Amino acid sequence: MRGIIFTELYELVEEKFGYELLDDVLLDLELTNDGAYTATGNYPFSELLDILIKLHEHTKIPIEDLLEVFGEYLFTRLLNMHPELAKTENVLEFLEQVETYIHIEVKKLYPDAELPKFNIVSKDEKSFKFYYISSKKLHHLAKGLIQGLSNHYKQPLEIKMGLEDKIGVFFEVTRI
Amino acid sequence: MDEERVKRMVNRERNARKESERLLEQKSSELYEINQNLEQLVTERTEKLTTALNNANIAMKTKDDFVSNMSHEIRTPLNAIMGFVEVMQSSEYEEEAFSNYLNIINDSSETLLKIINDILDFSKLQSGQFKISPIDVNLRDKLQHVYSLFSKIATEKEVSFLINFSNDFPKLLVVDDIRITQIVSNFVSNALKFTPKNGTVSIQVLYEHERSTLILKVIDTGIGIKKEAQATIFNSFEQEDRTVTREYGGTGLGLAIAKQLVELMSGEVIFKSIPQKGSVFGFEMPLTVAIEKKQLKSNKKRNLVSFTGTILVAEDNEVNILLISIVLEQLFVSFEVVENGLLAISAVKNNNYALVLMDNQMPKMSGKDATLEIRKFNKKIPIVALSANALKTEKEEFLEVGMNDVLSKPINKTELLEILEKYK
Repeated sequence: MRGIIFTELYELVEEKFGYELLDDVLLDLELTNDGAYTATGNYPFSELLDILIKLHEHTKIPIEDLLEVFGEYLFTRLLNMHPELAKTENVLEFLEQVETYIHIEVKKLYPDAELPKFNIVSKDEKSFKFYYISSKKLHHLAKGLIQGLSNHYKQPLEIKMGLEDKIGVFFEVTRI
Repeated sequence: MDEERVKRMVNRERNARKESERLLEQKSSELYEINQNLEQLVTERTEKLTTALNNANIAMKTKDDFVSNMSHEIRTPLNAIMGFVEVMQSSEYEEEAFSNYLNIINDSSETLLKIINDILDFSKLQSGQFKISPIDVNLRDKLQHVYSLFSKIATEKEVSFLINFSNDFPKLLVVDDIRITQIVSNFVSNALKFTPKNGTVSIQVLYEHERSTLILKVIDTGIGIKKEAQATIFNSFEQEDRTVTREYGGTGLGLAIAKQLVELMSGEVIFKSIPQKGSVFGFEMPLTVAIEKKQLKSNKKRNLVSFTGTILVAEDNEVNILLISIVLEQLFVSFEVVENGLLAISAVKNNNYALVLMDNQMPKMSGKDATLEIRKFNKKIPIVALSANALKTEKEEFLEVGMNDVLSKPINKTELLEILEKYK
């Protein structure tokens, strides 16, 4: 998992709950380099899960909600880092380009990145349906990212997430 | 915040910084390596491009030289033809002088035809359209014929000229004799061209039965070829240098054609040369011996009078009509002329011709269309196309519409005789 996910999660936790809580969470865990992550490194995905579980234990917030909030926050951070990847301000078009453009460019930058797949099911001016496939099952993070997209461009969206099956999750995103 | 917590925070930050620095260093060396490879790649590519550019420039220069040389080559015989025709038109008839003029016009025409054929052959070879058609051939006869054709030139140049065959030379070989004689003629004509008075040119022909291989060498005691020119002598458009072109003429295609023909027949060119001593040009070629059949057509004596019956000539061009009339009259063959495809159809319907010589590009109806029509009511009558365009694809088109053979224009007496012999 790219280090940036860890460092951004730290930022969010510090911002929302303060440094003490983050320190408590990390103190209980055995992490690579004692949890001293850097944005450009690569770290085990299991460590992200460990941190999330500990965070849940300390805050009592469900992991799904933690991921969604993190996704919302992460979107703007990522966009600020790579503004060149946003070729449109239309949120539905933006979503479409995640698979056809953004992931391709990300692969060029980080050839070892493991990216989820967006299989487009249907699209029109108002809605966008896709099937989200991720080996890491981070669909709640994806939902948060879409919410972040909606917030950033101030275009309200209704994000419906279907039930998780063996392979992935259906998403239906509609303009409100 | 308690001290322990602050310590941990600082430690964590320091560790993260160190890890970042390590990753940065690692990325830098990766980039450095990629850069090095890129520089090497750019250098290699630049070298290749420079070589390609140089080669292209050389090729362009060679082709330019070829075009200017070729236009000179074509112009020379053409000037002679036009010049002497004009002389004859404006002077009183005088037998000896006119006969001389005609000889010059004839020689010049042959030279011109040879140049045009060379260019055609070469372009066909280049585009891979050339087809080799091996048949059972008495190669000794064919080569003797080449020898006798060149004997006159050798005598005139006072060069001694010989031909030798190995003792057990097979009577019949399976080979495209037209191409073999073309190759040998090229070698012999070069040898005679570059061998001065009192020199020797000899053709050595050997058949190795164990390897089923024909080895033919044309050996001369001529001026030879400079060392530096030897590597490119078989390249198209190349002659030894421009002085050779000026002094001896030639298109620079002959050897390139010969080499490609040899290779097309799975053979290999033999070439050796010592400046001021002489040259050997030849080839080795795998050929099988043909089983002799009784009464071969080519062994029969040609009998001009044996063609009986009347020929129908369908041709619209007056000069061509005149030319073919003269040739047929010389052969004592009776004929009638029609000027388009429609007339040809009705002529065949109403008469009993032995053979039709059919031009293709005629007014009202083309030769091909007329043939299609004739074949609807007469499948037997031999129809031979008169073609100005000697490309193989066109020949195939003629055969497809039901013609039996193709004669190339300008009409060559020998080829016409072969056709008459075939359909008598």
